[in-house]
Amino acid sequence: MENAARVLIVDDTELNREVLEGLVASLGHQPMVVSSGKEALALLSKGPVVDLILLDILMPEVSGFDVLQFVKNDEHLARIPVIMISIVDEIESIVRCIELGADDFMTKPFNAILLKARINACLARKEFEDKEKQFNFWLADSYQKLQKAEQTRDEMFNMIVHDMNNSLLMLLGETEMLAHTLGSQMDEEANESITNISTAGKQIQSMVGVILDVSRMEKGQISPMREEVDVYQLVRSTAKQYEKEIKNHGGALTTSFSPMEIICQLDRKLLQRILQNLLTNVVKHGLTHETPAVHLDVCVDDTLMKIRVTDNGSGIPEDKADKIFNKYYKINPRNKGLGLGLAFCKMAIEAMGGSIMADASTSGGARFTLSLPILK
Amino acid sequence: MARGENTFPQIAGLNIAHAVEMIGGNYTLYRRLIGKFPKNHGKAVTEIQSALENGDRDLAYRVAHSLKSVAGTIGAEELQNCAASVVVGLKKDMDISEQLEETERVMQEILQSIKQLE
Repeated sequence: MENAARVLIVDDTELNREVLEGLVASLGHQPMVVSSGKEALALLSKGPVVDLILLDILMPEVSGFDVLQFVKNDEHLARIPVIMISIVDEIESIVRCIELGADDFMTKPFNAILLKARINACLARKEFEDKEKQFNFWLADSYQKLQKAEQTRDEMFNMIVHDMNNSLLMLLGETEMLAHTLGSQMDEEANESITNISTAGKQIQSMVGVILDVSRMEKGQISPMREEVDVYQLVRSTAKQYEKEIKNHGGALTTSFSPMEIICQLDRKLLQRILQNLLTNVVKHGLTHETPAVHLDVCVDDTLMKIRVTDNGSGIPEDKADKIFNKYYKINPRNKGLGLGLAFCKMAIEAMGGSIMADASTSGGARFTLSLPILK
Repeated sequence: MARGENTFPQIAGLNIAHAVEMIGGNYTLYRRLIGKFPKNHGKAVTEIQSALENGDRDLAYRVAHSLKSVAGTIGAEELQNCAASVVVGLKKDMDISEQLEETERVMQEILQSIKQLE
């Protein structure tokens, strides 16, 4: 024990006080002696001025029980360990003390060795509890600070990305203008340069877009709207945006729809973003085959509408299948992009009350299935 | 006196060696306790008797109780046993005049022994 503990001795018998005082001092602690329960109460009402109390039970006017009760009922004093001292034949007293919350019990006449052991045990336990309490405070405090720091970081990050997006729009806009006004006057090389600038710009825009989508999703800023949507029409028009690129890879994009039209209530823009992200994902990873084939089909299964995007690429490795919807996860870390697209898809579809699943297509490629409840 | 192993005087009615061991081996403390015993507890039996005459059973009980523990602490085993029977008698609301007599007798012996130690 590094520090000397302040031990309060409460006993109305002088001889007992002397013995206890001697014992406590010999342990290297600081004895504080009072000769009545009344004095003990007076001292303790000043607050937790002691680390341990040795309390005689049988005392006139204010008994040991009274003092014990006072201590255990006071929120500032309750944690001070109390060792009750009494004669061995009072079983009723022992039980009462335990019920009132005494930490330990000692019998008279004193056994110095036992008393020393009990005092040390109580003080060690209290010291440990104090340290634990301190640690818990520190832990809670650190966690709060961490959460705040994360929040600040996210806010700053999103502000930057937002500003970037604005500059990007300017960049792309101006490039389009250039192509439009000067295109015919420029040679093939110059035109190609402009196209490359445009493509690179659009890639950045795509990345920025998905970051903003995810951030808004997480902040709960996107609450899905409801409007009447012709699902087939939406899927067709979105797929068309990717037709050219897939063709450039030597592949083909096909669609198929089940006979019944599906017109239902959902968030058009959000579903479009989900489909765009899925198709971007396919373009990035699913066109490895000699003749890439991407297929979109929509069907109705009971009360659910299912939209499936399949490719004949190299598919999703089985050990990675459960990770692909995690934020920032990339199957190959060297791949371009941020690994946010699928995470966004999952967040968004779930916000709409649906679900997304990934498994293997019949050709061994990847198959993504969106399921949405049909709401009229 | 030194805190030696068998350097304690052999006094009738007082198991000094045991008592010193129980209070942590501090013989100096023991001497001090013994010195205060006559003044603080010598008249215990009289105190119990007047308490009972005044109808204050609680006080009688406390004094008997106190005597029992103090007697034990100084190693006065016979006195401790006497006090114990007084305590039991009081608890059971019995007539304790015999026990008190016996206690007084032993008390006087102890007080004599203590005088010898001085």
